[in-house]
Amino acid sequence: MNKRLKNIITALALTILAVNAKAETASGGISLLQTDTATSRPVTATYSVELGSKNVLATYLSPLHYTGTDMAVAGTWSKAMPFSPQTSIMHFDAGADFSNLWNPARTARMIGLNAWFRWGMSWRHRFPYQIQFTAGGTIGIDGGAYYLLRNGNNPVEAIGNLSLAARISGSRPFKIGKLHFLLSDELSLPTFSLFFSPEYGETYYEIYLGNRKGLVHPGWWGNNFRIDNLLSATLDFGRTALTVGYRIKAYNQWANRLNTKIISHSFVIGIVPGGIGLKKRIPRVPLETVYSIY
Amino acid sequence: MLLGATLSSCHDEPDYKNDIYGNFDALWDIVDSRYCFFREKDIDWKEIGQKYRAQIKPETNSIELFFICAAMLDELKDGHVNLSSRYNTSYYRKWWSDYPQDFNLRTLQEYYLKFDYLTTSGISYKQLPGEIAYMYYPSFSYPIGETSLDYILAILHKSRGLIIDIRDNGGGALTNIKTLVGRFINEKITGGYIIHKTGPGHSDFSEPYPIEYEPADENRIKWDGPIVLLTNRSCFSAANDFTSVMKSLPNVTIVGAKTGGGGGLPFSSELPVGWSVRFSACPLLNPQGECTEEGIDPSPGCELHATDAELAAGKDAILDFAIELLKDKPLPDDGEEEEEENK
Repeated sequence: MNKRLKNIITALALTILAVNAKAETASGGISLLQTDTATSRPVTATYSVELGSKNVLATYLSPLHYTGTDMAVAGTWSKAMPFSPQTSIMHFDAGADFSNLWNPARTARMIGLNAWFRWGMSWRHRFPYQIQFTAGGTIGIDGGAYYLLRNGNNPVEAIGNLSLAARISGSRPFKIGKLHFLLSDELSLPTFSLFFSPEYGETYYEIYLGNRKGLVHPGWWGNNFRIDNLLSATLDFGRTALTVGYRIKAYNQWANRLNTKIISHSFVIGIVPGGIGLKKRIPRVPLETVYSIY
Repeated sequence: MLLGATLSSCHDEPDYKNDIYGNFDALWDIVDSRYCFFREKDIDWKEIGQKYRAQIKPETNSIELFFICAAMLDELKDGHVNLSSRYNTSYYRKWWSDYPQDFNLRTLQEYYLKFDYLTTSGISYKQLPGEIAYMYYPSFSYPIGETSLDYILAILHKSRGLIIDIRDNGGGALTNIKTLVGRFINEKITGGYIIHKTGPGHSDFSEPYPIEYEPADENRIKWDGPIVLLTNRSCFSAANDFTSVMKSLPNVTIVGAKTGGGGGLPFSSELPVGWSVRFSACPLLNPQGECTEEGIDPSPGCELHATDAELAAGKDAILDFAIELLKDKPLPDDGEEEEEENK
């Protein structure tokens, strides 16, 4: 991630997360110290790069499936909440992806560019055998476009969603030798949304002229079904952690008799500055540290 | 989750095979569901599909299939319809080739402009003898700069009338129409309508949406004198639409031949073999709400042709007629001169 962009996103995350808290910078990572309790609630930030494949069917542009590569940069920030650090977690996710796709005959190219931003809260419960489960919701906005270079007056399928999503995760720490790692699966499932779609044969020129009728649709699973699942292992080295995983994203949209189906599979690799707290370090003041990821 | 996945997967799309029948069927379906002039042209697309599908044999090769598909598309009689492969782009030419050309660029440049004219933003212009302003705009693909238009109209302003020649203009960007029309109006007008398909049925269309034209900014130079617009059969697409808009202005006379049509914004799609197909998808209507696909007629009494023999001899009957219409119009008032005389 561009260093400047990373700094901006980090600053934004901190602004949101640091309400009623005093910021403190710790070596190897960022932590927030709440002065009125003896509890540290560090921000767990993960910066990742994702690389994989994508399959896009966008019938506004073409009846054919386009396939190719997909690259993404993403950041997630989470933090235990002051009112109930053990059970309440706040999340903030942002990212962008770029796709380079071709039709089956490889005579036409499609380019995709998308970005997303999500904020939410989760409730956490710890079960026996160190199994942790979280459930919550997010509000998010995502948008972008798929640009089919060969098309004339219908060159772009614009994507735009404002959604409320369910978010659940399950995780369990393991230790092999001296290596501590957390195996987790996280699922985001937008449930209610408002999304954009032009009409069946409408040009963007007509929208530019001012005809905005029928462009925004209320979405539910029947016309806007999406799923984002990340299976990952986070290896904790103490001052930092390494995340590797597999992400699958599926996006099905049906509006105005236009069908959009996007599915991507990606390998994920990322770092967590400051680690995730599995590998115990020498205690510092304050004595209790509550991590949000586990 | 399963419910959602099931519901959204209900909307499956046809999976066309990349073979001769799969490609033919894909093309037929695309046009059937998206082409917009079946009703206006009274086309039985199902019958046409059966006729051409019967020409495909198991031994038909890809190139033969291309020409069968191209011939099927020719039945639409639409200059906006193309099938493009790596070795050819099919094109229905009869919309102009079956008609007189009524224009010769060399004749215009040699006998009327005397190879001495100015050019900017793709527009060639000059004041012709008799104080008649003339501008030739060969393609709406040339972006028109507002400042360039200011210079053109400033240089030509002391004229009895303005001839805008768009003969052989095959179209381009609709936004250039707005730029140009804005110089000839003093208030917002509805210059036409656009409609689009709302579903795959041949009658699934939206309500007409007005296309409004705003006058150019106050600080821009405008033309409010008489205008003669010259057209021929090769005026197509954006040029056809420009003619439709200009015809609705009270100070504009259309002279020449009926335009070639192309009154539908084209969409693109493609076949499994990789060929692309382009077709009319969004009809453009005139200010009266009528389809413009068949072309725009000249003003009453102003339809005429320029024969090839005359053009070769240096005579452009359409341009001569326009000059004749304007030669007795008064020169515009020159406010500054009047002020000086008063002093």
